[in-house]
Amino acid sequence: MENNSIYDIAVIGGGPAGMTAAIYASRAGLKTIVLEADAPGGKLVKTFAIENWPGAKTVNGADLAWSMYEQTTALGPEFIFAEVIDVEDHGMLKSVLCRDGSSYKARAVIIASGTVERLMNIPGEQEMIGKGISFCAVCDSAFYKNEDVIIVGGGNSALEESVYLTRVVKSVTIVIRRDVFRADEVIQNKVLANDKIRIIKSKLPQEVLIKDGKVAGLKVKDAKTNELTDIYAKGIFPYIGNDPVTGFAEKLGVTDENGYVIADENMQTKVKGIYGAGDVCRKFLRQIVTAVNDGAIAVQVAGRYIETLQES
Amino acid sequence: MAVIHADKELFEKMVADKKTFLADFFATWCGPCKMLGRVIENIDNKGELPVDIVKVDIDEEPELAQKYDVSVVPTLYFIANGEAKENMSGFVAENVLAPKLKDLAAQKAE
Repeated sequence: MENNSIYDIAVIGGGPAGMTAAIYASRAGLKTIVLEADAPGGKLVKTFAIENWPGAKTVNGADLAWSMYEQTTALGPEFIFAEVIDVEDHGMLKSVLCRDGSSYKARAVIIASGTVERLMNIPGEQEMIGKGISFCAVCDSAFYKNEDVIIVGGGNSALEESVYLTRVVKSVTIVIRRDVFRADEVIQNKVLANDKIRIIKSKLPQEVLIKDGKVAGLKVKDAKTNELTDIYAKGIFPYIGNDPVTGFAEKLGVTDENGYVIADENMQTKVKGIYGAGDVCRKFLRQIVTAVNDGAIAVQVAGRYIETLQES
Repeated sequence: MAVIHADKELFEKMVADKKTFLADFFATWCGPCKMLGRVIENIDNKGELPVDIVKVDIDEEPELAQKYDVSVVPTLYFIANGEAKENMSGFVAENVLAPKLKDLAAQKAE
């Protein structure tokens, strides 16, 4: 169903960048719509404690996300829960299409859709998400009390979550593709000193083992000898990086080879009226504070662009 | 209609008594659960809760969570006349949940 209203700004994504954009846009009197596929707050919601948000020594991620959501919606933008699947550029107007069939027209679009956890892309993975495969140790560790679990990945997140999991699980097996960790030395030392953690190097995940509809383990292949081994565990936590959520923006040609939005210091992409903000952009640092920074800038610049449209 | 915190005994009695309610399996440490709790609170504050919401803390009631195969929180079970009709996992927005609660209430036998 097509919404006949024309919005000044359509914000794709309701995380810190998107909500900041909506706050600034609404306060500037711009007719704004936010489209979010999941819980408002994005990755904030999955973060237990945040200690680098100025003004709060420590704050729970979900609390901060809800507080941003209430502040945003109180200012009047439409906040719609729908997954965006396509954005079309028609010059002075853009169309945003959603999976539920709804569509919206806006003069400017701010892409603030963030990133999602990267999948291993092996058989059994997709159907076991939520049934033994989890991307959030903080969220789901309680389901694996006194059980064996596997962490896939050798970066900081993988190792930090491994140590976190040892508070509740029986054992953690870290599976890494290479024979060295990418993580910082400090966290590596914590892992090496932890009796509950074992490390399996140079192994490539091949298949999620399933028994009675639940995860039973992981089949891995040795990177050098190709020998296959089964590792038994009730839970698997892949921590192998993140991918930007920009499939809907492919036709616009505003993303790099990895799918990240290429935006300049004013958050402007190469397409007039299309902006990027937050983790979805190609950038050096992805934090809540950098996301809200992007959201504010994107709206200021989009506002000026909309003024020029009206003048012309 | 009210928001009730239930243990296994109360929950199973409600099922045995063929009650119609929404079971909300949650954890105190879960972000999306908190946000879903606020969605329910909003519906309640508007006086638009057509069925009872029965909240089950999975850390307090692990057996019940296991019985309902809860491996993700939040998980919602829509229970009509003591029978689980549908379940959903993860955050659910108010515009999705409110009509589903009305549909559930419409299935009440009494």
